[in-house]
Amino acid sequence: MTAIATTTPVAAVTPTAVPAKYVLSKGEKRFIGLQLLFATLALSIGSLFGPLQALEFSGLTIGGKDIYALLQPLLASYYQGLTLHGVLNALIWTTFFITGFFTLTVTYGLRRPLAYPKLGWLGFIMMTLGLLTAAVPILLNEASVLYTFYPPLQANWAFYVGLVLVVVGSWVQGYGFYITYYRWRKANPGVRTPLMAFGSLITMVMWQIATLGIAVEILTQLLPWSLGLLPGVDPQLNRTYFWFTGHPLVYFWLLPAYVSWYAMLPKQAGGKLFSDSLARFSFWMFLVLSTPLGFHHQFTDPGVPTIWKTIHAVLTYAVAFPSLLTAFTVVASLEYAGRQRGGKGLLGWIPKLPWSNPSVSIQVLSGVLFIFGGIGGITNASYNINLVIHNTAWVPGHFHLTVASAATMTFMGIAYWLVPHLTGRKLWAPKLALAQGWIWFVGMMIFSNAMHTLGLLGAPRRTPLGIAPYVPANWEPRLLQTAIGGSILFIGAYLFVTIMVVTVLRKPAPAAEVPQVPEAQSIQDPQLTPSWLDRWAPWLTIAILLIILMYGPNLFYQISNMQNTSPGFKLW
Amino acid sequence: MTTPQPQSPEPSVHIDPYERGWMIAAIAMLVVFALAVAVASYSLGIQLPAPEARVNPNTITTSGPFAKPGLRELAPGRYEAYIVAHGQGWYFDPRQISVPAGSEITFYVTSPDVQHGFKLEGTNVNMMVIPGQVSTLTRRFDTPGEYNWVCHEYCGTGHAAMYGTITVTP
Amino acid sequence: MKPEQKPEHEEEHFKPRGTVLMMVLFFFMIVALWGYVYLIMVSQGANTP
Repeated sequence: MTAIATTTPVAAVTPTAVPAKYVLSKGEKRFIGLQLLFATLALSIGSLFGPLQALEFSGLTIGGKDIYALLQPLLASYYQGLTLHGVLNALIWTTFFITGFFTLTVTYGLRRPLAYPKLGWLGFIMMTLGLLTAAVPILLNEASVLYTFYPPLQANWAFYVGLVLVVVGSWVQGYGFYITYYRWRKANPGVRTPLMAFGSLITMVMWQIATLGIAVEILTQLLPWSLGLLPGVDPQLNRTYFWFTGHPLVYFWLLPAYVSWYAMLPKQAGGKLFSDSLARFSFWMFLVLSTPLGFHHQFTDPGVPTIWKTIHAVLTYAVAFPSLLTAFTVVASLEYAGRQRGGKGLLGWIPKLPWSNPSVSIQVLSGVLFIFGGIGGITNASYNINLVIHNTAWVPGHFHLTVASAATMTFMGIAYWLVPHLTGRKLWAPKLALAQGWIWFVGMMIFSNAMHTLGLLGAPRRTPLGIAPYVPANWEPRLLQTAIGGSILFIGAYLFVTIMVVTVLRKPAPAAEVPQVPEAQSIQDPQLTPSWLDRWAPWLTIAILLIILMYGPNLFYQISNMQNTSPGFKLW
Repeated sequence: MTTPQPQSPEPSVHIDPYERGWMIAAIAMLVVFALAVAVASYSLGIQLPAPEARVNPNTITTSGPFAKPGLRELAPGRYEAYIVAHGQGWYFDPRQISVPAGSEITFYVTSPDVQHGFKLEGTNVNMMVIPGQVSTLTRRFDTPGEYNWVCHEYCGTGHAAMYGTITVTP
Repeated sequence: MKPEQKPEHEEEHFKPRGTVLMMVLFFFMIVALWGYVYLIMVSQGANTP
C-alpha cells in the first residue's frame, strides 16, 4: 500500500488526472463477450415460448389440435414452456448480461483490470454450471414450477441446486468487482467514483443483500425438502423469503439500464449528463429502498399482517421517487443533447436526437414504454388497488414493460455498440437494427396494452386462456391482440439474435470504425458532488437497518411459528 | 481516506430549480395517492385479506369446518362459505353457491395441497389460497346475477379449468 | 475524463424547459391512469377481512 503516498495531491478537491480511456485486454473482451453470448443464447431459447403462449391465447388450432398438442412430445405443456420462458428470459438473459456488462463498466470506469480475473471466471463458471444443472430437470418436465417456484409444487432437487449456483456465482463475480474497487479507492483518495462503475457496484451490493431471501428459502426449506430430508415446508414463509428477493430482483434488472441511461446514453446522444449528484443520489436510494418492502407482492397473502402490508406500501411509494427523479434527469440530459445538435423551441430537441443510431433509439423507446411500466408499478403498489389486478393478466402486461422493455431493450441497445467493440467488427445492418428496436416497441405496445386490459377485465395470469371454460366474449378481441403483439415481439427477438450472430461472424473492421465505450461527462464536475454521495458506510448502514426493521419482526414471527406441514406435489 | 480533508467547505448538492419543482410535485402526488388509498380503505371499507387462522393442510378435509365445505346461513342474509381449493383435480368445493340479493357472505378458503388463488369477478375479493392458512374476506351481494370466481395461481395442469360461480337471486 | 474547471456559460444556464413539459404530461398521465384503476376499485365495492 505504499503507492498512495506518491500520487495524491493534498490540496482541495483537485482530482488526479483520469486517463482518457481504458483499452480492454483480449482476455477481458473474451470474458465479457462470453457472458453476453450465453445471455443471448438464453434469450433466443426463452423467446421461443412467448409466441406459443400468445398464440395459445388466441385459441389457434391446426387440424383441430391446439399448438401444445401438436408440439408433443417435444414440449410437455404450456407450463413447461412458461417455466422455460420465465427462467431463461427473466433470470438467465438478465443475470449473465448484467455480470458481463458490469465487468465492462467496472474495468473501464475505474481504468484498471479486475484485481483477480480468476474470481470473475470462477463466478461465471458457477453460473454456467448452475444453468446446466437447472436446465436438465426443466427440460425433462421435472421442474415445471415457473420462475417463482412456489411450494408445495415441488421441483426436482437439481432445479434448486442450479438456481443457488447461478446466484452464488453472481456473488463471486461481485466480490471480484469489490476488491478491484477497494484498490482503486486506496489509489485515488478523494476522487469521485466514476459514475458507470459507481452505479454498477451499488447494484451488485444491493443484489448481494437481496438474494439472501431466496438463498435462505432454498437452502433451509426447498432443497432439503426436495431431497427428502424435510417432510414438509411452510408455504407462507417461503413466499415471504421469495419476495424478500423478488422485489429487489426488479432493480437488479433495472439499475444496469439506469447505468447506461445516466453514464453512457447522454454521450451517445451528443450531450452530457444533466446532474451527476442526483444520479448518484438515485442509486443510493435504490440501495436503501429496494429490499425492505417485498410485502407489496403479498398484499393478498392471508398470513401477512395488515400493519406490515401498510408499512411496505408506504416504502414502495418511496422507492418510486428515485425512478421519477431518473425520468427528469435522463430526459433533461437528452434535451441538452438535442439542443447541442441544433434543436430549438420547447420540443425541437426531440427530432434532433440521433434517432438513426440504433443503440440510442432503442434505449429512448424503452424509456417511453417504461413510462407505462412505472405508472403500472405505482398502481400495483397502491395497497387496496392491488385487489383489482393481483394475479391477473395485468401483471405480465406490467412486467413486460419493465424487464422486457426498459431493461431488455436497453441491454440490446448496449449490445449494439458493445458487441462490435468487443469483437472489433462493425454492427451488421444498422438499419435493420434500427427497425428491430421499433418492431419490439410496436409489438410491446400491442402486447402489453392487451394484457393490461385483459387483467382489468378479470383474466387470470399464468393460464392458457385458449382452453379456459370461463372466458367471456369481451375477452376475445384482447386475446387475439395478445397473439398479434407476441408474434411481433418474437420477430423482434430473432432480428436481434440474427444481427448479433452475423456481426460476430463478419470480418474484422478497421480500428477507426469500431465503436468506443461511450462515457458521458456531466454538466457539473463530479468532484463538486459532495463526498457524502461517495461514501458507502452511511448508506449501507441505513440499508441494512431498514431491512432489519421492515422484515425482522415479521420474519422472526413467521420463523418461530413455522409449520412445516406441506409435503411436495407434482401436479403437472 | 488517508489524505487530510480539504480546507474548502463541503460542496452542497446543486439541484436545478426545475428538477426541484418536479421532485416536489412527485412527492405531493404520491402523498395524495396515499391519502386516496387510505380513504378507500377506512371510509369505503375496501380492505386486504388479513391473518385468520392456521390449519394443517393434511387434515382439513377430514376434520374441522372444511371437512364439510359449503354455504351456511348464520342468520337471514348472513352467510359463511367454506370453500376448499383442490389442486388434485383442479376444482373448488363447492363450485357453486347461491344467495338472495342483499346477502353478506364471509368466505373462508384454504387448500389441502398447493397454492391457489381466489378472485371474484367484478369485486375486490382477491386472495391467495395458501396451504396452512385460511384466507377470508366478507362482502355484500346486492345485484342479482351470476359471478364467476377463478383460481389465478398456477396449481398444475388443470389450472385453467378451475373456477366457481356465485348466483345471486333477486 | 477531463474535469471541467470552467464550465461553459450555456451549460450552467441550461434550462430544461422541454423536460418540464414532458414531466407535466407524464404527471397527468400517471394521475389519469392511476385514477382510472382507483375508480374501478371503488366501483367494485367494499370487502373486509
